[in-house]
Order: sequence, then C-alpha cells, then structure tokens
Amino acid sequence: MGFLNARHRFGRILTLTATAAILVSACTGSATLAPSAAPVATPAPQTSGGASSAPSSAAPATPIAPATINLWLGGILTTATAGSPYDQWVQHIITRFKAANPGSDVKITLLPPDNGQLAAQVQAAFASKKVPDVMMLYSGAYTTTYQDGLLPLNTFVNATPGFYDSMNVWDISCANFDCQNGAGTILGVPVDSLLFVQWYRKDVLAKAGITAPATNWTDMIAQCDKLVAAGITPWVYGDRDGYTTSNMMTTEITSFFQPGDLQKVLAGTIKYTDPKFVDAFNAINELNTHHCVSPSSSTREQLDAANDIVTGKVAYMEGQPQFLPSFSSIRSNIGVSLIPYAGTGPITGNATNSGDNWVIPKDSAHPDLAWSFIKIASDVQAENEEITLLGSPPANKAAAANIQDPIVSYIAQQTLNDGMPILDSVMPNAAALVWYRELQQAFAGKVSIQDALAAVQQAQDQAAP
Amino acid sequence: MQPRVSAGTGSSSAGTSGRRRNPLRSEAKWGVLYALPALVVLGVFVIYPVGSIIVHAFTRWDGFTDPIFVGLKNFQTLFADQTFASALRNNIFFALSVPIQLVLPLGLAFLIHERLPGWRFYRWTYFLPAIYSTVVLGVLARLALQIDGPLNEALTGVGLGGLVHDWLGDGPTALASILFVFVWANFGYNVVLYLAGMSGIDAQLPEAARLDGANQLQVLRHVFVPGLRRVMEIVLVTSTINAFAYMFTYVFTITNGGPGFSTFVAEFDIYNNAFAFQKLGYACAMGLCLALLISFLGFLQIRSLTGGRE
Repeated sequence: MGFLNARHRFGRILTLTATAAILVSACTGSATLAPSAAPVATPAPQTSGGASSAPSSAAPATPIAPATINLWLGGILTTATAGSPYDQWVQHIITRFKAANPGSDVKITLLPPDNGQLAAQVQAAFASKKVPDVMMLYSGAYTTTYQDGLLPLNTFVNATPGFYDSMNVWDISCANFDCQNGAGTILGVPVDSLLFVQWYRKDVLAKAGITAPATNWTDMIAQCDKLVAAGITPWVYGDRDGYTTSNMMTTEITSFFQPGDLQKVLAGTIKYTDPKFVDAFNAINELNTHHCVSPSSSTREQLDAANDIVTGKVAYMEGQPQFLPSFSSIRSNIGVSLIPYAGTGPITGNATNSGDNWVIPKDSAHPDLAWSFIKIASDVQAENEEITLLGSPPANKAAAANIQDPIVSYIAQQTLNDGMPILDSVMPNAAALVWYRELQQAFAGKVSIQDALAAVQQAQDQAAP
Repeated sequence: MQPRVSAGTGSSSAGTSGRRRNPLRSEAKWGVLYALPALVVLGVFVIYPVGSIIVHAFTRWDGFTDPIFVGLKNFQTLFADQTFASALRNNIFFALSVPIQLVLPLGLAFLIHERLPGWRFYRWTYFLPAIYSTVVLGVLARLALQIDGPLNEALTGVGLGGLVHDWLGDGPTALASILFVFVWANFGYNVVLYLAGMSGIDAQLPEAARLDGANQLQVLRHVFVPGLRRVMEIVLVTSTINAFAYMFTYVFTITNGGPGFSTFVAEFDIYNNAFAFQKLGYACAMGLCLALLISFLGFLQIRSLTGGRE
C-alpha cells in the first residue's frame, strides 16, 4: 500500500507540477496585477515650436548626466547586423551622440525581424517595465498599441524649436493617427517615408525583349507570360511569413478603395471579406496562375528571396525602399517603379506613410539622453546619411529636399502622392499579425481567400475595445 | 485524587516559567521553519501566479491598463476559437508519439544493458540530444530541413532528388518534422531512465529466465517489462505532458507556428495571444483550460495505470 500511495503521490505531484508550469508559462509577467491606470499625461495643446526648419541637435543648455542608454532596434533596423549599412548608420549616430554627451554610451539590442516575435518582446518589456531608453519601432499601430507604455514626446518636441516643422509624415506616429499639427499626443518621431515599390532588372527584362517595366496590371501579367516563355522567372516572391502578399495587398487595395474606405475598414463597417479585398487578392493571385512566381515562393523567406534579383535569376521584386543598399553591385541594371495597380478605384494616390519611428518608453531611465539621441538621429546630417546608407526617403524635410540619388528621389516623389496609409500599418496589431499568416496561406492555396479574410475580420473584432 | 499532569501545566520547577516544553510543538515549529523557504518559493512561483491566472482568466487585460472583469466571455471565445482547436489537435498529434517514446527507448536500453558490441558508443550518442538545449536542437533542425538545407542537398547528392521536399514549408511535413525532433530529443533521456530501472532489477532474474530457455525477447517481455513498470509510468506521463506543455521551444525555433497556423500548438497560441496580440486575459483563460486538460489526462493515465488502487 505504501508503494501505491507513493506512486499515487508521484502522479499528483507530476500533474500539479505540469499544471503550474503551464500556467506560469502562459501568464509569466501577469503575476502582478496591472499597474494602476494612471492616465497618460496628455500635454497641453500647443502649436509646434516655431517655424525654423533646422532644429538644433547640439548639446542642451543644461548638461545631462552621462549614462549608458539602452537602444532597441526594431522596424527596418532589425536587420542592422554588424557591418551592414543599417549598422553603419546607427554607429554614425552613436558616435555623434557620444560626442554631444561626453561620458555617455549606447548599448544596442536588435529586436527580431519577425513582426510577431518583435511584438511579443516589446510587450513583455512593457509589461515587466524592463524597457529600453529609446526604441525604433514600425510606425502606426505597431507603435500606438503600446501607447500606455510610451512617453508622450510633446514636451520634448515643443522644447526643441523648429523640430516639429522640420519633419514630414508625422500623423501615424501620434495617438489616433492624428498629430493635429503638433497638438495631438506625439508618441514617436518619424524616421522615413515608406512605399512598397517594384524593383526590376533592366538587363533581365531585356533578355525577354522588354524595354520598360509594366505600368498596369494587364501589362504586368502579359510581361510575366513573356518572361516565362523566355525561361525567366518573372517575380521573386518570398512569402514564408506572408509579408510579400501583405505588401502587395496593401498596395493593390488602394486601387479598389473609395476615399474613406480605409476608415470604414478600421471602424468595422467595411469587412475584410468585402469584394474589394477579394478582388485585390484575386489579381495578385494571377502571379500564381500565370507562373510569375516560383513554386517555392510561399515558403521562402523574404530577405533571402531578394538575393534572386541580385544574382539575376528574376526580373521583378516587390520591396521597400531600403532594399536599395543591397543592390549596390547591380546598380546600373536596377530600376524602380510603382507596383502596377489592378483596380480602377478613384483613389489615385499611393499607399504610403512613415515606416519607422523613434519612441521613448515611459519607464525609460534616461529620457533626456534618449531625446538627445532622437534629435541627432533626426537631424539633416543623419537623415542625409539615411538616404545614402539605407536608401530611405527621409522624414526630415531639409534632407528630403536635398536627395541626389535618382532612385531615392523617385520613391520620395511617389510618397508625396499620398492616397492612403498602408493598411497593415494602421490596422490593429493583433489583426495585422493574423493578416500576414492568413494571406500567406491563401497565396499558397492552403485556404480560400474568403476564409483567410474572415479570420482577419474575427481578429480585428476581438481586438476591438 | 491523583493530580493530573497536563502538557502545559506540569509541575513547576525552579528556574522555569512553570510550563513544561512540549516536544511535539517545538518540533512543529522547526518543521515550519525548515519548510518556510520551500513554502515561500511555492507561494511566489506557483500559488500566487496560479491565483493570478485564475483571476485574470475572467478579465480583459492588455498588460498595460487595469483588467476589466468580463465574466465567462474569454471561455466562450475560447470554445469557438478555431486556431486554438487546431493547436490542440496538433498537441494530440504529438501525444500520439508517446507509444513510440515508450517502446523504442526500451528496446535500445535493453540492447545497451545486454552489452551489445559498441554499447558505450550507442549510450553516448543517443543521450547526446538530451543534453543539448532544445533551442539548439530546434535551430539545427530548421537549418537541416530548409529547402536548400543539407537534407535536401544530401538527397540530391545520392540520386534521390525526387524526394527533395520543402519540409518546413508544407504544413503536414512541418508538423512531422517537429514531431521527429521532439522524439529524437527525448529519446536518449528515456533510454537513460530505462537503463537506471534495469540496473535495479536483480541480475539473477534474467539469468534464471535464460536458464529456463527464454530467448532475449521473452526476457525483455517477461522479466524486464514488469520490473520497469514504474519507469514506464514515468515515461508515459512525462511524455504526454511534454506533448501538451513543452512543445513551445520546438515550434518557436523550427517553424514559428507556420506555415500559416499549421504548426501552432496550444502553448504557442497562448504565447501569441499574451504577448503578440496583447490579450493577456484571454491567454490566461487558455492557459487555465490547457492546465485542466493536462491534469485530466494525467489523472486518467495514473488512474488507468494503478487501476484506481491506493
């Protein structure tokens, strides 16, 4: 009997241990009740600070105590691995930061490039209050979702004469995606303008007798057929994480929408299962049916797939402006154009907004130093380097006015033709993370687009307050 | 009438307060004192989190703002959640490997125990995955199984190009790949458990069986298996628990839940809801249900193995 009791106890202990382990693993970080809902200090509405477009990034009048600040790199800088142009850009900013703040230093942490993993790490940091001093995050809902954990920057912005007016594309870096010309709650400082474009190899197109990139969807599909006939894979399409189909969808949907439709989608009065979304996807899916993309397109990683255009295996690639540095070896053969639109909706502008922004968490140990860092990272010198090293159209107006590179200049011009924000930048974060996975499955032919979009709608409904 | 001597009011003696020390109470105090560190650890790391989880399971909570009580809404949502249902199905798929984890290591342990030529090598190589971090195993597996990874290159190299497959890009094979790594990672550990159990069996028993004409298989079946009953119970219960509660690292490192949602397991879904989707209240409800499910399965297993005997 003693043996049986012992055995029984062992079973119970095992079961209890497993129960505890699951619960702890499920809710690590929830061991304490949520912090009291101290309202986020909304700064008194003020107009932006002055008309000067050249803010000072020099050391402040009152010296800031030196310290090492923690910098987390999300957004486009998740790829800032040692030696990369992205890393060079950050290092140049750090060098200037250290010169402006003697005795201070910067400790860098790269966040994961996977949007879901990044969101989880940032959320865990906020929940545990173990936050960095300054962070780069994707703009829009990837930032505003953490609004309760972020320091409103109005006080800093207003204390820096000319800063607000020196920058473009503010809106989706503010609460409710509306900066109200500086009077709204500023959660981040925009870094760049984002627009998904069509990169193409002139020499590869020429092999199929094509002299100019496609400018409308019919032409695109016709070129696909021509390239396939010439034995060339027309498009590189790395959709393992669903980002490529998402980028194509957020671009194409612009041409199916009426003005104001985006707001209706976010409000739930237009569902993701609406025919406009289905039609946009069906157009993109023609890349499958016309063999424009390779069979492995749905399982290849996006950045890895981009190597195919560098090595001349394909003619076209969808991507953000920041792919430009990786094309340095094929610069004479690379071209950029707008992704052709499949719809004929009345919106004539492009899907564009700020891609990334700098934020300071509320629990930052060194907010003044963090702001000093942001000022340096946002000034003309840093943003000029952003053009040359990252290929990004900068948010800084003076730097944007001085773009010499024709490719970056072209993209910057297109971002000025602003039709609507990029959908996954402004949809609820939880819905966006479902959107990527569902679109990946739909493009891979594993689920119907109707089912995929219904799941996205469900995610958005569940995310609603 | 004989004066009654009670524990607390015994005859007084000089120099005392008039009370006799009760050795049982004193022992109890020391017992509590010795148990205190463990109780504190238990309270901080088990009881409080479990209580907190139960409370939060009935709230809507994003980790930033105050939780809002929503009653049973999280559970209603959970029972209609197709992703969670699909994730649980994947957990069940992994749990179906438990018989393999029970039998294969037993066979190898027996061969090693019987001093098969090269047994030391086998013992070492099969135990090796058990000493590696699961993260290392997952990353290695992901690299090996990529479409342009060493496995496909090897298949092409030996003329089996027709078998080249996008192992992690296709839902069913991605799931099977995770299962393979899971079994491989736990295989060596189970072998060691069996070896430990075999070393406790009286060496005269198999010897007597052989003298009576039993072959190796019969010795294994009729001598070792009954003697290893308790070890097999441990392997059975822990493997089942692992299949439901310790798959996160494999999924996270090998497929990150993809393609799509096809390799989601319950833990990964909980993690996503808690940290990526900021639905901590909902994640607590999921965790609670999963814990209850595992407890129920554990109870059933123990019950069936013991036949309900105390």
